[in-house]
Amino acid sequence: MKFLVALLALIFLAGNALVGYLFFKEALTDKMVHKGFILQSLPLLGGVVLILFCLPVLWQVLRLITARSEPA
Amino acid sequence: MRHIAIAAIAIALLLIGLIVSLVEANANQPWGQTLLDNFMLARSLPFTLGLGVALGYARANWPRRAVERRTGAARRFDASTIWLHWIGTVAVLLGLATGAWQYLKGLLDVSSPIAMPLVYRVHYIAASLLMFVIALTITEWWLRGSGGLGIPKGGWIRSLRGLAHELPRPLGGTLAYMLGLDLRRAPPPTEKFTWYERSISYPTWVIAIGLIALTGILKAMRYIYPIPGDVLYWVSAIHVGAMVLLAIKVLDHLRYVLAPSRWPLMGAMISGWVSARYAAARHPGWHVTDEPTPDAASAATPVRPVGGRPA
Repeated sequence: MKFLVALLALIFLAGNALVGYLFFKEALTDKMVHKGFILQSLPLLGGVVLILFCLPVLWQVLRLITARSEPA
Repeated sequence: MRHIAIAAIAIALLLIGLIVSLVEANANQPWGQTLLDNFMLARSLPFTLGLGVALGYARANWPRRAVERRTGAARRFDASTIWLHWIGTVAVLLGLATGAWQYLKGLLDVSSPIAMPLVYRVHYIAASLLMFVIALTITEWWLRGSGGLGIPKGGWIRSLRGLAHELPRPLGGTLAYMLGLDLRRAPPPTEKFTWYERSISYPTWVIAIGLIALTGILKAMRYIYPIPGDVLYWVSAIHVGAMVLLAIKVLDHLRYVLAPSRWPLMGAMISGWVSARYAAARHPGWHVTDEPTPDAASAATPVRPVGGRPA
């Protein structure tokens, strides 16, 4: 069960990291610069924060996979 | 009996509303599928919310069964909390995926490999599911006088002190310094829900879901009740911001529940139960008085000793 949940979490993380990267990359294009601060800052900050929040989840998933089972 | 009748009427009204909308949609209308779906969503929302309120009323007035007892286990979640949690999870994940897809399509300015009307349709179904869960949960908790995971009146300082002890030392110390909390005092024992869950996790869920629901309703209604362009601009910007906030919340929730020390709590969101040994060790303020508690020698060491590293 742990491995299934960890696998699903990893897939979810990969999706979030990809979305975060695309948000960040596109926020820096000329098209978004001309749309103004608010419309540019949403994908820019959102992309960075999404990627940052993926890191602790990845750490916990690795810990979950490697941790020894303890009695519940 | 009245609660069953009200729930049945709400279901019948929802069905009638959907049938009327479908009949009108099948008439000779010039609209495309996405606009039709938008109308369907906007028209069905009052019925969906009404169904949620009616079922919440029915749940709150349902005759309560005697509290089930299990040797060596403690009840953490009711059955209704579990299924509402998982329906809400499906709604949030579907809504996030389809919402991000729509936003990315516009951002990247590319054609979608999946038909966009289908993406919008799934988004609207997810929105309806979420509205239903919100209406049901608020009604049931309100009528039962349950505060959910909220902080009781006058309990904020105690909660924040508990939170400061639970957080990693640099964060907890900073919080305590800023709020003038005395960390030398023993932390308040963790109750059924941790101080982090009650003072950070739950309130931010309420904010993120509230924002996305309110702005989503306004966006859905814009073809029925004209909304000024400036207002719609801000509503759309807040809806996207709430989407990012909700994605962050899901990630933070995963970080919290996937920690090996909290794995039994993950199981509790499926079975509803957690072992009394775990409850006594990690939630000492949770009075599981009818359960045998482990003796001091065999009890597991608390995961998060005062001033220790977080689990």
